[in-house]
Amino acid sequence: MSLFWPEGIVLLTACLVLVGDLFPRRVQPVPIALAGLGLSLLSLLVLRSGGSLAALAHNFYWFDLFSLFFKGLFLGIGLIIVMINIDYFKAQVKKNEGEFYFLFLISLLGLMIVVSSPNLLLIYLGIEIVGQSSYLLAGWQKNLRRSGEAAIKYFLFGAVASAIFLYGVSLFYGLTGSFDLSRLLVSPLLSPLYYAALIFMVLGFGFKIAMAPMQFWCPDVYEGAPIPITAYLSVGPKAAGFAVLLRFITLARADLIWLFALLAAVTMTWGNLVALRQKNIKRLLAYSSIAQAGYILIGLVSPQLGYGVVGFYLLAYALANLGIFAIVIYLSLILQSENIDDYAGFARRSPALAGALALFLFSLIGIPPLAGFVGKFLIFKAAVGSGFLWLALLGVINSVVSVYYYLNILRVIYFKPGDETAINLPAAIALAVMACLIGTIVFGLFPDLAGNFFLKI
Amino acid sequence: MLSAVIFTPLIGVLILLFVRKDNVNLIKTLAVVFSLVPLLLLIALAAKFNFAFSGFQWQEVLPWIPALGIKYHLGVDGISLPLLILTALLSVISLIYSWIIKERTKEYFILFLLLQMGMLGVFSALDLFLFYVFWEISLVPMYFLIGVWGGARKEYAAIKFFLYTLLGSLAMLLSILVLYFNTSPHTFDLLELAKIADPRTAALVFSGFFLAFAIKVPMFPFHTWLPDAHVEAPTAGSVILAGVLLKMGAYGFIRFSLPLLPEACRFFAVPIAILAVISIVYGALVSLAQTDLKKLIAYSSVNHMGYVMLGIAAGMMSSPQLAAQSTAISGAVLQMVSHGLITGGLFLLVGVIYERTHTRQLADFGGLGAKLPVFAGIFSFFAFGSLGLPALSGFISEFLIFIGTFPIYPVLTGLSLIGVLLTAALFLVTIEKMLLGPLLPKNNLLVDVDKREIFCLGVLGVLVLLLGVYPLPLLKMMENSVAFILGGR
Repeated sequence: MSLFWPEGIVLLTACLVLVGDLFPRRVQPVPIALAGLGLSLLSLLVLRSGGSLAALAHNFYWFDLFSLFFKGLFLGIGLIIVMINIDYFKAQVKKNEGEFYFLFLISLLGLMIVVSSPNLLLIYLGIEIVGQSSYLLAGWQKNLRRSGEAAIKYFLFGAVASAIFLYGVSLFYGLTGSFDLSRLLVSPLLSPLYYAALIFMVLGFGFKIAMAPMQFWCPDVYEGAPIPITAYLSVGPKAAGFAVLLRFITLARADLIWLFALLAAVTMTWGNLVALRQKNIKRLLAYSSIAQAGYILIGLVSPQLGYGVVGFYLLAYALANLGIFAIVIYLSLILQSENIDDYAGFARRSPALAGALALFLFSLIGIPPLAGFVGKFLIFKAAVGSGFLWLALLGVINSVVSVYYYLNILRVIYFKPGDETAINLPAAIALAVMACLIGTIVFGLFPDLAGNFFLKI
Repeated sequence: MLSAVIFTPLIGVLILLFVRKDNVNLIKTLAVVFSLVPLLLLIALAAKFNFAFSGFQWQEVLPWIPALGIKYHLGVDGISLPLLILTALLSVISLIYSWIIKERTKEYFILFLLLQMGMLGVFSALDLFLFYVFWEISLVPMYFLIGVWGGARKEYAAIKFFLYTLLGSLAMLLSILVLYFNTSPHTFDLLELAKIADPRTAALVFSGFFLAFAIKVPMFPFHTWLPDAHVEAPTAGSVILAGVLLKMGAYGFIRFSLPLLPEACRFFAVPIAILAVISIVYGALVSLAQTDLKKLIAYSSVNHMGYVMLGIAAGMMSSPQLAAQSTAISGAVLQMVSHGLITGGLFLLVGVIYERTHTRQLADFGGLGAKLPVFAGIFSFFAFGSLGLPALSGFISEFLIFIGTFPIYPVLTGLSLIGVLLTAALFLVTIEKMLLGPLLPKNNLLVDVDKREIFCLGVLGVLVLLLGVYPLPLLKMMENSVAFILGGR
């Protein structure tokens, strides 16, 4: 049972936070959440070094390297989100802190379940846990209209996506008589229904990763949700969605690869082209995250390499994106604005933070020696290696297009004059940025560090 | 030793990060010191250079990312060493010249040192992945140098420079990957790859490299970023752009396209030679039409790099005239060094006059010869160097290129001589407009060049003269390496 420590600790922490909120003299939820997440991560590392990996309960729950990596990623993401949430919550949201952290932790637990099972029912359960809690979190700023709008939109789209996914699952069950994804391999059926089932399930997951044509919720929800939740949505559920797609691709037939190649092409092109016109930083990052999902989908065309490639890219993307969101939160706190043009002169107000932002953006563009570059390199390598040169070429063209809007942010903060009074930085945000920055640089210079421990690149 | 050369500027960056930003003099001094160390180290290496050895010297090989077969592999030969020295020298000169920078000093000098590190790495990397990393590192600081400290249209110029170069680099990245998958065992190591005969997809690989290098050189029709970037960049940025960054493209052709893809080179040699001649004539003609001094010199770079490309294109042919080919390539490398020194000097001179008059329009000058005699003397010296006056370095290198290319492309070489005539006319007219004639009344109060400027220009000038009179050591240095690259096919 020691295998369940990571999930168990998160669940326990969530309950503690909720119970602590009941007492008249409120217990502070932040230290509990941080401690719980840290402890859970620690137990995960202990498990990894112990090397006791196994499938459990009739192939119901897997403790493979794959799920360990993703669980570690989610816990890391959780820690950073809590850190960057502290000051934002105090200044902007204020109310119902205990419940907020409870839902957030439960949603993390959902993510951990999603990546650990090859069983479609359990996957669905995990998705719904993540979904329900994040619908609520997206609408947490009840006084803001757009926050409510975000929650409603997210909920409606999410419900439809769940329905589509369930429909695919029902077809799958009808054909194979099982909920087990590994039956994909042995399925002798090549009927149109088989493909319909697969496509419905992939589309259902496409919602989580903001893949075209399931990406329309993304900009509005990102814009309306509290920024730390936006940051969370842009990395957490997205990574989980990719984890399940990876399970699909390693288990499914080779002809699915063409589907992913096509989806990758459409998704990245759509995201990049629309991003060019965005003025609001959150909407820009929403379209950027759609485009990034497109790049990651390229990694799926190579099933043998897919896991390491996609895993590394997600790690690099999460580090850069969380770093950017931490800085965006800080900027919105001091400027009360999410408009990129209002960032003018920031490079002179806070050279260190501006430098960090530049490095994160360059990592997303894919400039060496940053982690994002290694990610992109691996993705292109996978595409070229499996004969998808056209997809790699399209990825290159898309990367060049994306440079324009990423560098537009730097243009404003570096080249435009603006308010230059120095300002102080909350410690928690500084720490989060620092962590992301170190990760971005270290994994860029020495990708083997991530490779040897969790991934096979 | 090479690692020390490359990473000393990075140590400088790390130290500068902790210096207070109002301590301007300390920042400047540290930057110059840390950029000087690589130069001294390289001179020490050059003194110990083994002229008889044709391979790479002072190699360093370490595993870097074993999972992907990527190595940290450095080494220099007779072609890269002169370019490394040029890079280090121009960096030091640029930093000394940049003493006048008043705005955001700390950021400026940090970026400049990063740029220097990237450039030094490009010329010493022998692993394609490592090469790509340094290639991109040298792109980013230049974007900021143009964008923050540039002229009126700096934002436009900076993004255009970045987009063009990145498109080329990513195409090169794909080529590197295709190359990687076409060899067994898979490797990124240049020396390993060079042993293997042409991969099946040579034409494809060549195109990717071609795009990256041709944009960087730049060759017609990929040159349109150059006038914007050169004109808007701060003076020292223009010096580095013209002096070093353009050379990275030509160096790429010699270091990678020639030895790795000889078949494809043969196939594409004539089209490249034609593009080179178009660059030569077109660059000179457009340059003649300019009224802005900086733009004029920028376009003259298109012309001068055209000669380099013509020499390289001659080396790409399969004709058995090895002697002519090696003359052409040696001439091309010498022209790279010489253009770096001369055009670097000319851009410094533009900076000098712009600091005083705040204009670069030729119409605002005239009669400066009498008012600023020292400036006029130095300007004439570099202008004559650029038009190819014998006894200066530009003459020798262009002469070698023409001797080498004539037996291979008689017609094209003949056509490119038009370019020589045009540049001669160009610089004579420019000298006349700027230095002779009546002095405009508003220019009455100008002061002549100061000691710092004389020092920067003097160092470059002495080298231009030295190479023009006695180029033999440099030619000897590259002789074996050039023969090795051409003989490897």
